[in-house]
Amino acid sequence: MLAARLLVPPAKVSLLLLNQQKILVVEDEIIIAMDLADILRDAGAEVVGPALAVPEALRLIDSNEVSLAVLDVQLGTDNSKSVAHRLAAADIPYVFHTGNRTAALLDGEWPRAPIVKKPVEPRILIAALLAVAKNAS
Amino acid sequence: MKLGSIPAVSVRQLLGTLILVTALPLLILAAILYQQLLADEGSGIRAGLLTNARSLAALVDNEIDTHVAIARTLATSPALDAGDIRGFEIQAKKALQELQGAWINLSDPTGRVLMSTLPDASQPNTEKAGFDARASALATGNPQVSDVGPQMSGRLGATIEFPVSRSDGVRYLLTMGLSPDRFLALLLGKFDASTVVAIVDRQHKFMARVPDHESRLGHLASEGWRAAMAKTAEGFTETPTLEGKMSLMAYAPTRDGWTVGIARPLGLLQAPARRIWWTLAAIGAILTSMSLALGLGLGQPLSTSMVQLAADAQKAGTGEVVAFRQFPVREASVVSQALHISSEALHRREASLRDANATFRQLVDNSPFGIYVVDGDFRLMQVSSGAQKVFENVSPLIGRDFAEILRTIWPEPAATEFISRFRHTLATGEPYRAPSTVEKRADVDEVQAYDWKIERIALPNCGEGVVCHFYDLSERQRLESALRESEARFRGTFENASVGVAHVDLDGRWIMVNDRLCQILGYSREELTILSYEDVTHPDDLPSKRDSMIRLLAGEMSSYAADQRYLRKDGSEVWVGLTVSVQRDAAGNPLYCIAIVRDITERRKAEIHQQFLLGEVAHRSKNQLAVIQAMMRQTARSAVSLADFQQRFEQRVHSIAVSTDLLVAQNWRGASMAELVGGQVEPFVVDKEHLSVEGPAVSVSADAAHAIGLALHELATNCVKHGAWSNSQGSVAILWTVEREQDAERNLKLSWREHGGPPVEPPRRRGFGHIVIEEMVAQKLNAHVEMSYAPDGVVWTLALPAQQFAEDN
Repeated sequence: MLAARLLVPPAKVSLLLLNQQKILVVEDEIIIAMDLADILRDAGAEVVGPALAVPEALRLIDSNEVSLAVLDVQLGTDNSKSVAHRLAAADIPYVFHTGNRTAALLDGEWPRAPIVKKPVEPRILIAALLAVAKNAS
Repeated sequence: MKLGSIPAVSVRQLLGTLILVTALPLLILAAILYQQLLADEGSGIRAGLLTNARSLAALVDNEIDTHVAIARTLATSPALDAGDIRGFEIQAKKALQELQGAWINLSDPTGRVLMSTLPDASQPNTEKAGFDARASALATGNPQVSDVGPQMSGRLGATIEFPVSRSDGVRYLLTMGLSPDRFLALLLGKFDASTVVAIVDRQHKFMARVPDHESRLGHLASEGWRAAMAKTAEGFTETPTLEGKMSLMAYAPTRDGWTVGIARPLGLLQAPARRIWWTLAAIGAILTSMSLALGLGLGQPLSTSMVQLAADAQKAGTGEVVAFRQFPVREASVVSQALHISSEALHRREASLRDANATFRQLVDNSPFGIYVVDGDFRLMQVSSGAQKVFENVSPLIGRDFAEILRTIWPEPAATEFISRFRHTLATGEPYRAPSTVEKRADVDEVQAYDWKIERIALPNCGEGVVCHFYDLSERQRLESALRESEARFRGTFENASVGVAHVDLDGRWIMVNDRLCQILGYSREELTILSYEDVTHPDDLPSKRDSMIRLLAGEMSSYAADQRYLRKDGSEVWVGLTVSVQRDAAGNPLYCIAIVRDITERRKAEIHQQFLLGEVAHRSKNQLAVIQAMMRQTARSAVSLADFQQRFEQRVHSIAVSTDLLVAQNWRGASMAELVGGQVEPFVVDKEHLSVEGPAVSVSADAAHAIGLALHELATNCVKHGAWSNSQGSVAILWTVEREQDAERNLKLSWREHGGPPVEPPRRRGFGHIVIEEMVAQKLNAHVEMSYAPDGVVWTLALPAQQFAEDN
């Protein structure tokens, strides 16, 4: 598809950098979730989810061998703190994917993780995930 | 002394007068001496002249005696006794040889001439001129001298008649001619030419005269001499001579009744005296002139000195110091010295007087209190700055008659009373005090009250005056009432302030609080005044507040303002805007603090809300950008061409923009359902016939507005592409209702129904649009969504939970 070729970043066409990664996507905005999933799939990853809310996310962690995660912070009126803790506890590397509300992540109640800011460029997201994935392995 | 009365006599005039006065007695003495001298001289001349006259008279007598002696001798001749006339003739002629010019006649008593020595003498001279000497001689028997008359000789002359007596009586008469020439000879050569000398007979006819003997012989002497001789036989007279020259004449008688006179012209006599006089006068004049010149010369420096001294004295009079001058006149120098010393003293005294005067003026003028001075002429002399206001309507003021001033500003009878008080004090020196005079002013419509006191004082320019000290009680009364008013205003302001106001003592205790503060803090006034500000300050704010108070009291800042929290009585926080300033006494020591407390809880809330909103906006916009980015990529994935992508993407962005506009218009609180439908769907409809919209007034949440808006957009897009609006017959019905279900949970039911379009075919691929329509709305809004692809037309229904919408009234 011509338009896709023009508009989608070259991650997909270069290397399947996230090959063999099972990546959980937690994102309440369905359009963004879809897009994230598409980006990660384009990079060769297998997408778990996307999960639109905390219970679903927790369930998907339990039921899948997730190797990486992309976490939206604000999930409607809820947030993804518990998901982050679960991932940290399971030693699954992840990145936060959020708007400008980064201050909340630094209050000490959240496990530390890299933050990528919305709206994100696909290659930055991929680079961030590769960075944590590499550290984890 | 009036200047006009300076006498018009100068020193020089006085000196001149002095010299003249001194010289005058001398001159008079000289004149007297001269007169004396003149008198002596005169009397000497007179005496000399008289002596000369007498001497000449004696010479005349002697001459006559000579003749008489001859006659006597002849009379005794015996020839006569014998009648020998011839013999007698010879004797006579012989006797006459000694007497040149003389002649002799012999006649008998009857007058018959018996003999004559004259050649032609035949008749005796009978012509009698004056004295009849013949008769007298005959009568007395003694020889007699005749007066001047024609003689037998034919010439003028006189005779001696000598009777020749014998025992029988007179026998003969011997007549002897007296020649005038012989008498002239007596006179000649004895005097200078200017002297007139003459011999006159009893008739005052000249017998001899020098000068003009010949022409004057027998003529009468001058009238003046004759008059004098008529009075006395011997003496002086001043009379003109026959020549007309005024002369001094001395004259003396002869034995026979003739007179000898000597006349010297007066001019000649007076010439030496006049010469002396002129000499004396000249010397006197020269000496006097010299004295005067000397006097004036001496007077010049004196006069100059006096003029300069006068100028100096005048200068000294103005208070200037006069320099000491050395004058040629010692006394002038002494006066100058005295003038110098006294001018210095005067200057000093005047300076000190001036100082005193200036000090006095300054004391009065600059006084902020009510002071004024009335001088001895009852004129207002000085007014202190503090007293100006009282006289503000009087102009001119200084120098004005004080009675007039009082009558201008006070009505009667008060004015008259005040005037008499002042006059009394001025006259007697008795002070007067009026502790409270309340009077309506005459010049302004105002009642004024004064405490005033007057007393007599010595003015610096000498003389006495009255000073009045007064205190304007009306001002004080006004001040007091102003103070009361200010106090009341303060109370009113304090109590009715819309902000909390408190006075806090230096220990932090509330001294005075207003109602509003009580209201803000939730304490009663009584409770608050036993608390300190620390008791109600939020513990978190206390350290900074203490620090501020310390700095404030130390004077490091004049006031401080801060937003902080107080704890209300009920334990709740209240945000206040606090402004604290320090009230200090005159010495700068802090007395208490004034705190202004504004309740800013609402403002804080608004601020927090605003911050939240800002964060929200940022978050939403970021989110929305993320959504748009995702949407863009999704659109791209399904786009068949770039133009297709562009169109679809623009439409979707537009849809989001429409929802956003509606939300912004409602402050992000939500959007009206009708407007959302209209905004999203109507642009796709060419003919309104093909769309029916129906539903109550309902607002949906912001999330719902976005999600539903985008879903409606996707439905409409699909509808135009494949559904009811893809031909010209189909139409869409949009309907929403609020429904209440069994469990009492309200739902908004929204439905999209298409009919009349081409037969519906379920989509072969789930694209972005379907995800939006079927999943996004459901997931995002926790709503129930159903999509059916009935052959008649697509039906999309949504059941929105209560929290996502509100019914509008």
